[in-house]
Amino acid sequence: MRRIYHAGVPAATETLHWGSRELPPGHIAVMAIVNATPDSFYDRGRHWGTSATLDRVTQVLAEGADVVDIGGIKAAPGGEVAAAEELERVLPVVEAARERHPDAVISVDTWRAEVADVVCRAGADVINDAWGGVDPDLASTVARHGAGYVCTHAGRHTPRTRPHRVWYDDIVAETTSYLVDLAERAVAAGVRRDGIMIDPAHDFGKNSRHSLLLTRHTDVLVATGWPVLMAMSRKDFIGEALDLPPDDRLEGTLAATAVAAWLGARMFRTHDVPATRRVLSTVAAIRGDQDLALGRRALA
Amino acid sequence: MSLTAVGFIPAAPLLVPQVAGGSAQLDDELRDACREVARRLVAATNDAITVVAPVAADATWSNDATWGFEGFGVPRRPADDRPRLPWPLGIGDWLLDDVAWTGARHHIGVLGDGTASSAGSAGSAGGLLVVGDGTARRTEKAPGHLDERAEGLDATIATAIRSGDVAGLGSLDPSLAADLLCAGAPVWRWLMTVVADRSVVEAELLTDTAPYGVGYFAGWWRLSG
Repeated sequence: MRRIYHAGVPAATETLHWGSRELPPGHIAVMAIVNATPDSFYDRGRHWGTSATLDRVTQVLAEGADVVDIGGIKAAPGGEVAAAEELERVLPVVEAARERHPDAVISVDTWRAEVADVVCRAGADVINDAWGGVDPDLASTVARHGAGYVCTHAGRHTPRTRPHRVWYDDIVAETTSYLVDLAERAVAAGVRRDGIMIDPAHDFGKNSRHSLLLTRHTDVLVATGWPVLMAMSRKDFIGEALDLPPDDRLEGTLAATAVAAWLGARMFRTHDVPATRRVLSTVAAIRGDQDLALGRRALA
Repeated sequence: MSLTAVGFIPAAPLLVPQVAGGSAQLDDELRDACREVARRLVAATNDAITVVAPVAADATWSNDATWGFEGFGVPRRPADDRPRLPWPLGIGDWLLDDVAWTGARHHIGVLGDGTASSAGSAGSAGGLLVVGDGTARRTEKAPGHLDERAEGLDATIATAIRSGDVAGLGSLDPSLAADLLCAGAPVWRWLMTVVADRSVVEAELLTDTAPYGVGYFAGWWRLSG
């Protein structure tokens, strides 16, 4: 289809290969959050327990998620969850999800190489390294399994610590250079180049203005050439833009999603799959990346 | 010239209304207490005020530097082209602007070990505006999560400021203070070295509060002549 408008909108060029899926440029993908935790900030254990978590996997895939992202530890500080306990939470979900949904792309949100190794053997396709490369063995572990890899920028913070008065001379430049470096180091460690995404990790090691700035300058991240994942769903920077609690952050999240998608982000991590899918389809139609789902108006 | 007075304010960026944004009024009481501290400092000082605040080891600034919080994502309005102070010094500098102090001002950065940084202008002064706060681990929602020891350390700090106890404020256990993310401890240790031979003739704790799990204190000391 002919693209009518191009100016200022960067176009992603590479196809991403995750698991059995190809995610080509122009398809803006949805990564569904699946919490195998009793205490995550938004769902607060709504899907806690292997059976309930698996039902959630089935639900989000039916709703059109391209990827499920299973996490066993909440991001906020709290009681320590050792690797063994993290695996007790995540592994049964990965194994069963793999069996029930052979074609689904399964991502696991972990910063630990030892967890990544076990879940990849159980069928995980992607490791979402949400704390920004704190385990030096993670990339090589991902490489050994031929898995996909999400590089994130968490401000060099220790996992599960809160940012406190964090200062960046240039948050966009710092985040961009850190992510490019992490991605290149992942390639050097043997990770497939076509399996890597970068994620600026909104709110991780950042205040709300930092997260808004990174959203405003999504095009800078896109211009690196690495496909960009945005994980913004119901986060505090949305809450602080609006002074609203997590339950009331859907519209704000979708607005940020539309802006970042317009500017070229390729995947969105979300709690709300159907709403996100609709927003992204609309943006794709506006961008000219996707044709009308129905073309009748004034055409009969 | 000798020191005449010491004012204590927190190192919280949200003290600056431009940083706090739409929620600035939530902290008006704390901000007003800090303004009162600064006004007393101005009234007690004929010549110069020195802002003292914690800084990172690699902090540098020039003599014409001013406050600015761009690194928190906040553009200064109206714009000001002068170079920027490290942000903790900037908080004190902003407060002096806010109370319309037009006399001389100096800036001393204090490193984690309680020694003064060599950067910037370290003049002796009539008044010291000391920027630093208590622990950041008072509640589960606090920046450093909950540590049961935090309340006790903050109570010690409050008592020392309220009673003009120079040694008590300057002798907090460094490792405990570091564990509890107490940004003020090194600055107060430095303060003890410069006012050790002076007596506090008037002391008042104007504010002792922790609305976000960080111990905030606004206080005031007048020193013997």
